[in-house]
Amino acid sequence: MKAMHRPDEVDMEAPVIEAVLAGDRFAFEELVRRHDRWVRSVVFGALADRSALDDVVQQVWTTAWRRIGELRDPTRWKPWLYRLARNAAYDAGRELKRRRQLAQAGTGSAGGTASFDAGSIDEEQRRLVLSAIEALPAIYREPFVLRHVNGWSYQRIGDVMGLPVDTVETRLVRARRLLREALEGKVNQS
Amino acid sequence: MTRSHDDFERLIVRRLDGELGEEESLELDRAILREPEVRRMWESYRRIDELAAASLEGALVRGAGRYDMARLTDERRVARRWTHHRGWLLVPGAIAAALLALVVPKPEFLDRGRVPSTPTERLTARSANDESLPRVSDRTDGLMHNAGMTKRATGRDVLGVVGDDGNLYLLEVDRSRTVRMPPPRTGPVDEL
Repeated sequence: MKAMHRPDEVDMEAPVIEAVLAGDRFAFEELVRRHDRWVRSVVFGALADRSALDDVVQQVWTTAWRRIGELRDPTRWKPWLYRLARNAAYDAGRELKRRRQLAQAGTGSAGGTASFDAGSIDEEQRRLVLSAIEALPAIYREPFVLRHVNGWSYQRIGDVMGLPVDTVETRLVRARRLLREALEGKVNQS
Repeated sequence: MTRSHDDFERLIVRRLDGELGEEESLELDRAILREPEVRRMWESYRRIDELAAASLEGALVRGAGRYDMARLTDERRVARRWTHHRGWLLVPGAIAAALLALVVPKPEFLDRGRVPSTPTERLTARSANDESLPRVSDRTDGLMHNAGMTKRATGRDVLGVVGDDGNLYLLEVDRSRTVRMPPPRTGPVDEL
């Protein structure tokens, strides 16, 4: 499980970041390969729309390459990238919502998001859980997704989101409670 | 110490997230064994977490890393801006230069026998003769006052200008903002 860099620890990515800042495209590709997973989790946590996930993440990386020269402190590149991803996700979410409203007004029907093939009971239950996660309020969904996809500690999540550890814990508890309420009777015990 | 339902919920979540200490873990284990409600809560949250991890993995991994790298890096980059690292030196540097210009006397051979001809030189001559620097006033003040508007001073900038003689001269620029004047009171003032 990949841990988030803390200010008091040595950032193993420092040489890669320096190379990217110097304009090295191969170094940037390596950065994408290493960190695409948690960037996707940030975007999904904020956006909660699987159909737009790939496009938004691609846009985040394109913007990161274009604007990394604006980074004031190279050691703070992860919070910078987190904000970039989060802002892109929120912008995309607003645009998607606007388009859906327009489409709904035009056709009278609501658009849908991408769906799983519910081939088995487990698949169906995973689909239900994913829908419930997407329906969570963003302030609970974001730390929940970061925790489950990246295995980050409360401290790491707090560092990247700019939250105290207690707040991270409270939001994760609240996320679980809301999921439990939403899935009451729909999810079988193992 | 008896814990509430919410307390055990918090312990369960912290255990699922790997944040539970040893003592609290033992306490939770005892509660799971002794209290059916806590056991149900534990099983429910554990199942939801398993499904959440699997569903998120499926949702996020699909498409991961499959980017057109050439397109990603095709955009023109913003050059590493030196101002972010050294821009702050401009302000103290300008202040230091201005102070030096004030403290260090100008060599006489530079303007000996010269008649000031450029605006900068005339300014220098005036300041050397202890004449106050000319100020340009806003000629629209009267017009604006009549139109119910007035100017309020909002600040002052000091600019350093290198003159023809190579010396640094300071220009004071007063900044102001046009605001609407409050209407004059005509009736009695209401008592609170």
